[in-house]
Amino acid sequence: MSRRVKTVLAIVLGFGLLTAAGWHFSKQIRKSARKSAIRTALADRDLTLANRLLNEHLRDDDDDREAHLLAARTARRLDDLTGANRHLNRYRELEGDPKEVEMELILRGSQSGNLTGATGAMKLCVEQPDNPSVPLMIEALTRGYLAAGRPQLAVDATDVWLKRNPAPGERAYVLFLRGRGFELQGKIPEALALYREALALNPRLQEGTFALAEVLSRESPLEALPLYDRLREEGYKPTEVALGTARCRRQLGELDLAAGLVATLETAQPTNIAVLVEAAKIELDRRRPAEAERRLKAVLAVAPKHRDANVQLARCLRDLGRDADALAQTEAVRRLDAELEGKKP
Amino acid sequence: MSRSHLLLFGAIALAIVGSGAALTLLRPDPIPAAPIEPTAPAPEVDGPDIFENVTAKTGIDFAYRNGEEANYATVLESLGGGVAAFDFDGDGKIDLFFPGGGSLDGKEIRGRPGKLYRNLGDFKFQDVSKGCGIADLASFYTHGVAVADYDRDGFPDLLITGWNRLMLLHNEVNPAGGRRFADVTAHSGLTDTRWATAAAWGDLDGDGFPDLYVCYYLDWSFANDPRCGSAERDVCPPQKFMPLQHRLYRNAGDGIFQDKTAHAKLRPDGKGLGVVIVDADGDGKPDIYVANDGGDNFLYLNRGGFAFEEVGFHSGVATDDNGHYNGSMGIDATDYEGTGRASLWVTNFQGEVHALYRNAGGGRFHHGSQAAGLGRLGRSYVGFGTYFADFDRDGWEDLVIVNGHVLRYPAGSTHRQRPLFLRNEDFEGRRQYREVLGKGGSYFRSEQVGRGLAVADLDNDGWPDVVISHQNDPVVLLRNVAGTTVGRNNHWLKLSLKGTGNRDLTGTTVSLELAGRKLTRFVKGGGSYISASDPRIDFGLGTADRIGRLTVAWAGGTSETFDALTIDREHLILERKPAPK
Repeated sequence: MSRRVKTVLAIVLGFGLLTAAGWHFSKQIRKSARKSAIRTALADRDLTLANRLLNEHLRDDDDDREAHLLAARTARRLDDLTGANRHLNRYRELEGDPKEVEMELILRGSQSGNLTGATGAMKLCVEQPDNPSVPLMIEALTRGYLAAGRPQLAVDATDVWLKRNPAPGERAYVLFLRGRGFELQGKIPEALALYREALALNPRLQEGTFALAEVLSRESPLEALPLYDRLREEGYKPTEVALGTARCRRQLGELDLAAGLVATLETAQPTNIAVLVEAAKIELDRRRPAEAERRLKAVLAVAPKHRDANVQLARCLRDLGRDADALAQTEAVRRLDAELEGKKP
Repeated sequence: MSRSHLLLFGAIALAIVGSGAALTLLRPDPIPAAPIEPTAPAPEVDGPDIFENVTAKTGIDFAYRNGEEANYATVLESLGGGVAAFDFDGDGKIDLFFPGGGSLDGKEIRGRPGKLYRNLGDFKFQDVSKGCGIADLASFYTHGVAVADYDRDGFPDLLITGWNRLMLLHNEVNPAGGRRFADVTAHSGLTDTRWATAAAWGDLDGDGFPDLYVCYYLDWSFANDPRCGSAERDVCPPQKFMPLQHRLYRNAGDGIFQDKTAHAKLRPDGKGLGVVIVDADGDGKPDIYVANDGGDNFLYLNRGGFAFEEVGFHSGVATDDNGHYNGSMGIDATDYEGTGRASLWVTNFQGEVHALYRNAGGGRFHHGSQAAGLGRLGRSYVGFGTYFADFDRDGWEDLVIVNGHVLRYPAGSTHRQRPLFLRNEDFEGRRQYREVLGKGGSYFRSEQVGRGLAVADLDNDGWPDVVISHQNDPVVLLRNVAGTTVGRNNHWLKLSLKGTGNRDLTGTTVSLELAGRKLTRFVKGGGSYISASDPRIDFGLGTADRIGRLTVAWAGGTSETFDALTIDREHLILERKPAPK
């Protein structure tokens, strides 16, 4: 082997070694930076970003047990139970702490409205605020109270949560949940103020933007429209956002626009109850009660106690001039209201 | 380049590429977002003013006082006062009366005298309260006023409502010259000692004498005055109190009123703040529509012989489009879309849409606020005085609403609120009410605590003007100047209707043929909010320079037609006298 060839080989080898070292080095940097970014995203309660980064990380390192637990929690907080199960199962396979698995399952139950043990858990949150489990517990409890139709308890939970002085991103989320608590109690001005405060802290909080738009679609539809526009551009809950936009257009008296929006939704989802009820309302305002009746009957066939559909059917029958039927339907609404009144917590 | 240089260059390049790749992987997708601030709806149309605030030059300097300075924050203070626009002295010019309210010092509810202003013409008024007996009346805490010629002597009388009493004032000859008012309450039998708010006159049994519907509100007193509000004491909602049954009185024709509440089967509930009497079902008999604050609104259809059927719920005017009752205050009726039928209208509380119930015929109504564009207003207003009139004379009745919260510290809204002027416009082939910010004039850009509102042609120029009473702030007179601005090419027609023997004409429907359309107006009792407006019938004609036949369907069933009326004039139409004056 000539000297020249040896030199070239040495250069190639050296270059290769350097490339490998550089690649390894950059991978380590990337890994470390990603973990840091995950921590930041979680602290800011940017769960969508955290979830994406965690999944990227776990594609590179599927054996990272703690990352799987974190990914399971994050997915659960995003209501992605499939993802949460996948990560929790992998955490189990990697011999993760069974207590953590149990805790995660309890939090999942709480978050979806199973309030077994909630009183004790809330007591712990109050009495041991420094317990590391408290942040996750209090979030799951607040959401659970809302899911279980106990909005005042949710508001009370946010009192405890806010005392922990959460970081701005998390605080925005707490204010959003607190707003939901007020909204579900019919305290609309208070809810609106909280949604606005939450979005001032975190303008990217999509749940908050959506909640604000939904309330404003009734309270001040001109203000709601740009919020829905933004959410549509971001691809957030396309059906609900389109439906909210249609509701705004109806509130504004722009019935042709509203009808066009709902027609598209109805074609895609012909059995969606919310879509059918909104379509019926638009048809009633367009003085086409027969078109409304068809939709309302379809809703009531599958959801006979749907209050709004019952109310609209009474209006519809009156518009159709079927006075006896309208009278009977009006009485049905009264009975339903009495029943719902009795069920109030 | 040496080998060592080559190696160093390769290493640096690799490091840059590697770290760049890592940074690229870590960068989250940018999501454009701007802070979300509450924004007021943008002005839709700009243009010249339709109203000019002329209060300063009128000589009227009067404010209703509700006693808030005592700082009790009682529900009594929330209602405010009304306005009466009526020609008390028969000189052809509309005069003004304002109830005075009262005070609550030391938890003693005291009255404050009202004021009567005589119209001298050209928007000049003279306080004639002393000479006309108003200043000498026994005082009580007052709210509203209703006007009718209850004894059919040709001169309008006054009914004043307030806390725990009514006062009926007879318009009679003043020995010193002119007219004066005498308190005839004791003789009349209108001696109910409960909290009376709105009242409406109308001949309900067809005997020619105007009967009387009185709304009562709540069982509040200082002995039943719970604390409301959180940090600061504030006005309690009506839900904290029991309702008071309203009263229906039959005018016996001899100055005495008989309580027909039981006979008419009035509902025992209702926290009434507004009432309008109008022929709602087109049968020629006046019906009664009542706005309740925190309960179903009532519609009493007149079945004759002082028999009434309350059909609010089944006809669709008791609740909103979600089947929920509202907190209703102001009230009116109009044919806003040219059907010839009276649609009903109430202004509502914060969090609710003001409700326009489109009259679909056959005693059926459809909640049509959204279709009529009224959803654009949002739900932050607390609406009180309101009235339909064709202010710009384009042939369609426009709408004014004055607003102002009852709470001192309202969440999500403000105590002072902007009044609204809404034009009746075409949209998608339907009639819609659209706010024309910047067009109404400076008053409609200001924030007020409005309550009573009356519409009247105060200078007899054929263009309807507006008078507003506020809580503790001076009353405002708005002169309609649309004739010199947006409506300069439009025409009008005004009618004074006079029934045989000065009979009450409430329930009469007047329609005018105009360029293939039929414009319909109604003779109404009550309306707006605890106020009384110019009783004359009023048409805007657009640019049409000739009109068709006028048909008057007199209350009671007979109809007469009138042809060849001259435009831009006021005509006196006498029942059973075919030639108008």
